[in-house]
Amino acid sequence: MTNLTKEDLAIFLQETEELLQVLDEDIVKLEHSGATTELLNEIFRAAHTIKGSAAMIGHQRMSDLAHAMETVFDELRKGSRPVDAELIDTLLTSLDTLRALKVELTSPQSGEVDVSLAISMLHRISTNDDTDVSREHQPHATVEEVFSDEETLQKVQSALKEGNKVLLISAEIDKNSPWNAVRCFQILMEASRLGEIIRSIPAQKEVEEGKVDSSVKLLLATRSEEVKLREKLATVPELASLRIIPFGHHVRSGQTNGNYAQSSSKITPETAGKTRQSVRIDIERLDSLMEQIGELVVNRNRLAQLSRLLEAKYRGDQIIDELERSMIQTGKVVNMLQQDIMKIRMLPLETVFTGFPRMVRDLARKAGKKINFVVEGQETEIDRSVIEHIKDPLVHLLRNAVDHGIEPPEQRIALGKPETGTIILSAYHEQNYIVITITDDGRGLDPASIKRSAVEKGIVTAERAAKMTDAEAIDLIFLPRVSTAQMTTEVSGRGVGLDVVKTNIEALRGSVTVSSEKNKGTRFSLRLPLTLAILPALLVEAGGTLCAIPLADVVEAAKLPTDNIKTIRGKKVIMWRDTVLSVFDLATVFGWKRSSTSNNSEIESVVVKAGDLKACLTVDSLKGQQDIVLKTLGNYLRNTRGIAGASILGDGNVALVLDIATLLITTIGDRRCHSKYIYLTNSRQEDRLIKVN
Amino acid sequence: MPANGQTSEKHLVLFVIAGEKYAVDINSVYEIIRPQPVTRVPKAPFFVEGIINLRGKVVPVVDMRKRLGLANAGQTKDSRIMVVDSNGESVGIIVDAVTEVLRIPADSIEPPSNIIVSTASDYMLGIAKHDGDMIVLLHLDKVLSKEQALAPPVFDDEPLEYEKSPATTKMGQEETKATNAAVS
Repeated sequence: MTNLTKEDLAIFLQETEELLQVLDEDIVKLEHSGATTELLNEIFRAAHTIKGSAAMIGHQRMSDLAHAMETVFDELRKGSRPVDAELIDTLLTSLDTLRALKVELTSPQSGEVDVSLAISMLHRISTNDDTDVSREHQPHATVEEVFSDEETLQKVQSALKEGNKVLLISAEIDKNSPWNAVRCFQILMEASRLGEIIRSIPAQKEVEEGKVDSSVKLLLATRSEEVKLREKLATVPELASLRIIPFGHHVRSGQTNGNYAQSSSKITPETAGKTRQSVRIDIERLDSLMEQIGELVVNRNRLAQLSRLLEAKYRGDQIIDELERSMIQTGKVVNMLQQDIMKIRMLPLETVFTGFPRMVRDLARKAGKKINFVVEGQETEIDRSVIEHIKDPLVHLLRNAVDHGIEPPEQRIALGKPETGTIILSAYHEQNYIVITITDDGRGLDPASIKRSAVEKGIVTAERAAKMTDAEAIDLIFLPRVSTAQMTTEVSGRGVGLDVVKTNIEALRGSVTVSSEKNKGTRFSLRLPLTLAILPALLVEAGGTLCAIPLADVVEAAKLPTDNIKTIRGKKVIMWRDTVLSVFDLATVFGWKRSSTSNNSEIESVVVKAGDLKACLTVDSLKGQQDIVLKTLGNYLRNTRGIAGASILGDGNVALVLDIATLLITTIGDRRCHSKYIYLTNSRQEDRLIKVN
Repeated sequence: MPANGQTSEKHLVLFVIAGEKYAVDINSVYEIIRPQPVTRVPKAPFFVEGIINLRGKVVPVVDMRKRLGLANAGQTKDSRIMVVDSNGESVGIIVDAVTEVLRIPADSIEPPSNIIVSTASDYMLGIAKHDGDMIVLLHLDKVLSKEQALAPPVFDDEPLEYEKSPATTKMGQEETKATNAAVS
């Protein structure tokens, strides 16, 4: 399940090193100056974080040890154990073991670090023994012991000599499966297709006789990739869990690194031996660099423009030719610089997605649900500044899907659905955006109960709710205080609402939409810009003011005959490629006067889109395309609707950058989006609602 | 606020709006520039003229006359944009003229409540007396905040003005429309 990349490992190592440092200092401080709440909280948090991130990369022993330490810290925090020398000694020993575990990750020669001593010491000093840890730790050891008889070991050794890998595969079959013998057989069959089964428990003969329970363990000598094996085995239905671990470090003593997860095999000695050299940079510096390169791009464009003008004026002059050549060269370098800085800031979504399969699994188990979690497109890259802010919204949406989306197995069966629910997390590029969708095949949102909740909280009136369509009602979930949950559970429904998700995503200039059908499922889609820094834009002039429309929002820019504009029920519309579009004059929308004469037979216009919405904006004139650097208007003008920010052009002029989505939503007559926005701003003011609708 | 010791001084930048003298602490002034073309921002608060390019930074510009609900007089050759700090951000304010930089003893500044009767006292730090003139010390963070509607400071020897003050803001808004039309 864990797919540990080199990046992950590097981040994990850096983080852990810092946390170990903190623990080191703090434990010593604990001995010297005694326990304070603040200090203990800090210690607890550090241990807790190590535990979490170790579990995330699948380093079980490290996570177990950190957990045992955390238990002791928690007791200290509760005051149920005094600080004495024995305690500090034990803690420091444990800390050293943690450090050794960390070293183990990068230097495979060091062999496997034993954590059992440290853990048992911690248990001894801990007042209420947490037996959980030892239990969790146990089966792992027994699995290997089972295969440690002489005959098996010999076979393993000879398989290794022949250049095979030996993998320990342990699979759990769904306990309720009536076909467990068949499933076991299938697993053995699939495995034997990719290698030679050295030994299996139960043995093939026992399987054929039906002497099986719900688990299969086998040793496979294979030359296939682990990933491929996993893929094949995963095709067996009703599989509850699957673990693939390289086997044989006991045989080849100290040659492989720890058996902390199937993915460990990815850290080959070559990559692990030298940790990647990297420098952590404050994201603000990177932002500042990005901004300056952005300015450079803008100025390069301006220079190119000037040199073209000069060329036109002094054609054939040798100096001009030189200038031209130099400009081209500079342009190339600037382009490369821009691409590089973009690359530096790009990260695959994987960095965020990695933890999710485990999270979903744990949540599902806690909620007693069966969920097949599928992740697609995790290699999609997105700007670092965006990635940092999407984790929380995604966690929230996934939790919602597990908790409120997927029904308990009995209920699913009763509804005639497959017992196991599916949640698909998928990401893909769409022009200058990436789209992340979370789809579940659960119970779907119930418009009636959302309406009820909204009415109860006084967000809409009962009359208004009665008139709403289902789609309108479902959109209400993005409003503060409207809840989708029938009941609050441990997993979600703890105060943070979808309104926060929406706010966070919109702060990234993205958007969230939801579609849902009762008993069929729910889909949330997040649309996020690839980068927040440089964007190509179409410059237009409206009412004498320069405006920039992000090119991603532009469908077409053209001169349209004014005769084509018709008026329907007081609204201006135009036929455009067989669709009817609303027509707005940009200057008028902004409350400005058009500066050009209106009796022209043709009018400059831009067809823009935001999601499914399209509209035709008429402007004074088109000014061409340019890369722009988006700057915020600052807190002072933060809530200016329809304006995303401003940009300083190469010639020093300031252009307003339009936020087409907001502009269309606030201006266009689309009732659904329209009403949503109005609720957001003027909740509970029925009179205003009527006026706007 | 008047500072603690008698010996302490305030270092102020003095400027004029509609004939009245105002001042702000010199530490909150980044620079003073000549008026330059301002890009309008639609749907911005009425007293915000727009934004300017200040050496690559986008800075909002507030017309202090409009902010204080005073009649617009148009720009003169003395008009300046003072770039000041407001809640940690650079904001330009248009004033009729910047007159001088001055040190005055802190104890010559009186709290506004003693002299002023209006909501104006909210955005004032105090009144400084200098050469027989009254100088209004502005509380920049408050005077530039968007939430508050403001009325010009009214001294208690002009009680009639106080009665009129709610209407003054409205007039300011009408004024805005007129200016916008003039600009376009």
